[in-house]
Amino acid sequence: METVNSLFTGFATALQPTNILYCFFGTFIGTFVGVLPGLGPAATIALLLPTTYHLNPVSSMIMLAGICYGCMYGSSTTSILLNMPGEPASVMTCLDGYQMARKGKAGFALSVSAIGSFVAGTITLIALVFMAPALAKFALKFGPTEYFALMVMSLSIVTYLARISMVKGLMMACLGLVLGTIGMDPVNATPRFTFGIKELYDGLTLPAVMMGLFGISEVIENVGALIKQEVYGGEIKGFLGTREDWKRASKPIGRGTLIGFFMGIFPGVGSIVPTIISYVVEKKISKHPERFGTGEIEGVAAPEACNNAAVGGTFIPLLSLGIPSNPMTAMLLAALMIFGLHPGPLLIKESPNLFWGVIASMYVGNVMLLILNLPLIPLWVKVLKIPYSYLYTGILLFCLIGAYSINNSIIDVMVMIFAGFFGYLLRKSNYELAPLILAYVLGPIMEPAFRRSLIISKGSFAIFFTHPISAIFMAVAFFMFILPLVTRRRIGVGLQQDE
Amino acid sequence: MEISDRWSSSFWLLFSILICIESYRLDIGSFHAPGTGFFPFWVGMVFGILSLLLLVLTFVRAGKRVGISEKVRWKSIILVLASLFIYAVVLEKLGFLVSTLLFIGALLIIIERKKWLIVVIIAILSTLAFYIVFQVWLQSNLPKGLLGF
Repeated sequence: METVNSLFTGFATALQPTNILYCFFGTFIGTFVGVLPGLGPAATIALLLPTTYHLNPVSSMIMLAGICYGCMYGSSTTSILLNMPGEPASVMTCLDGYQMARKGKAGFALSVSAIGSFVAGTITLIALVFMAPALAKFALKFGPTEYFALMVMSLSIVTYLARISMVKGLMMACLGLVLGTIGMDPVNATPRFTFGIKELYDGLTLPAVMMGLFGISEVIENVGALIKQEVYGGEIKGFLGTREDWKRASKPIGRGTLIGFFMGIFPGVGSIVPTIISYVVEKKISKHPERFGTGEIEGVAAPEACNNAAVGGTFIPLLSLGIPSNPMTAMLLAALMIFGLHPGPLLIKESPNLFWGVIASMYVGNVMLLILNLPLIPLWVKVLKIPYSYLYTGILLFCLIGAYSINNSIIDVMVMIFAGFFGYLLRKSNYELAPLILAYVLGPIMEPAFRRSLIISKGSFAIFFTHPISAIFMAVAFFMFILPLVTRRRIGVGLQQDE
Repeated sequence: MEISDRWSSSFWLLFSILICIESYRLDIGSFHAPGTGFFPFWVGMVFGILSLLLLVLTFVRAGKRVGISEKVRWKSIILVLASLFIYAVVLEKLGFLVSTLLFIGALLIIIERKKWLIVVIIAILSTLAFYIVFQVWLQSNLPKGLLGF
């Protein structure tokens, strides 16, 4: 009952006119960057962070969360019409979605993905409402030891899911942890690795690093490769589909939602791998697995529902534990910290307005996306017809101004440019950026927890294995490390597309 | 395993050794009283071991080399990076309006080889658009520079 009451106050917050407006901004911008190649949700949140400084935290978070799920709607549009996923989470949608478009069923594919996303978003939110507070209550018992173990587990899951090489994934996690130590020592304020540059005392500015790694580096990659994109030229029609079609799509939507949500809850899983699994599951249980890849509606419905459900799922560890699962939620975590809030189990108690307001706004946003998404598709198709040379000039300028306006400092701009080039080199030599960024964000929280645990235990590492909750997390982490040695084949390997 | 892995893992190995040395100088402390350099030192150690592992793997699995021979337009990449860098350097001196005009002009003319007239029109319009959004609407305090506004 208490939960229901809180949710109602949440809706009261979310339905204030200004918040509806920010929710609309967020979902609209999210869809836009989902459509746009070369600017993902993480970079976009980084870009908009400085502009939210003068807003109140609730409105800002409503807008930033809108970017996250709006993006999922947008990227399915490009997957279906262009065979090019706007975001990696809709890679699987390309396989059957684009084939459906080629067969003249683009309209139906788009509406299935919109409705599927909406259904998944709705079911997930209901689950989120009940699970997040319960989890937060449980997590109140956590001390530094449990937190450290939890973060180790998240990092191990992220690196396990790294699609190229686990060794490289772990290396990137280490690099992230090292980069996270730049600046003042959180315990006794000694400067580390700052090379005497005063601006680095607070560490590398996270939004600048993100814009570099996920914005600039992607532009550089596209400029270097110069892909010619072909926008689907045919007319988009047949949004309604037949009754039979919808019947076929409904069960995959349900299964996709379940898979997405329950995998997304685990800190570190994110939204890419669940969609791959949901596609594989559909193919396995289908009576005609050979038809997959030729334009089967099940192959669109399941992963599309799944990626939206997974976004909702990742909000649970984010809002109740303060643990991000992917670069996108890492940015949201950073935003919460910038607003002076304490992400973690106390967030719900300390800022109920924010917690419930953001959750309610996600529902409002999903309704908005359902109504707006389909009518806006012609606009997105037009956007995609803008020559890339103009688009990327604009993206670069956005990043430059965005980085400058964080602190009005050229150092941030330089950090961003360097991170961009560096990120490009890492991508080119097949290093994954997700473990890097997650470790970078978690590092400054992990280090004090680690040091405090050792002080409590008087220098014995056994503390991480004798506390029961921490031992479970450590066991999962250990399992993640040895699993690839035993099985050799990992989930997701071989499914990577040359994007 | 690619040749590039051999280069990158050697680089990371060196990098992690440097991290360890630097952290050592920062005071590691001890296990029951960890100091400033404690955490980066151990992370650096793990990093180094992993890099060494990757380096060894490139020799063990040398047979399975996958060559990616995609063409990369390095010239464009370097030009883009150079323009970004120059923009960052001149932004506070020349001011937002002048540097942005030059930046757009440089990208579109030198890298994309568009026609002068189109570039001038696009550069002016988009600079104004950015100015209105960031300065007038969001009040970002963009650098004024030469022109004084």
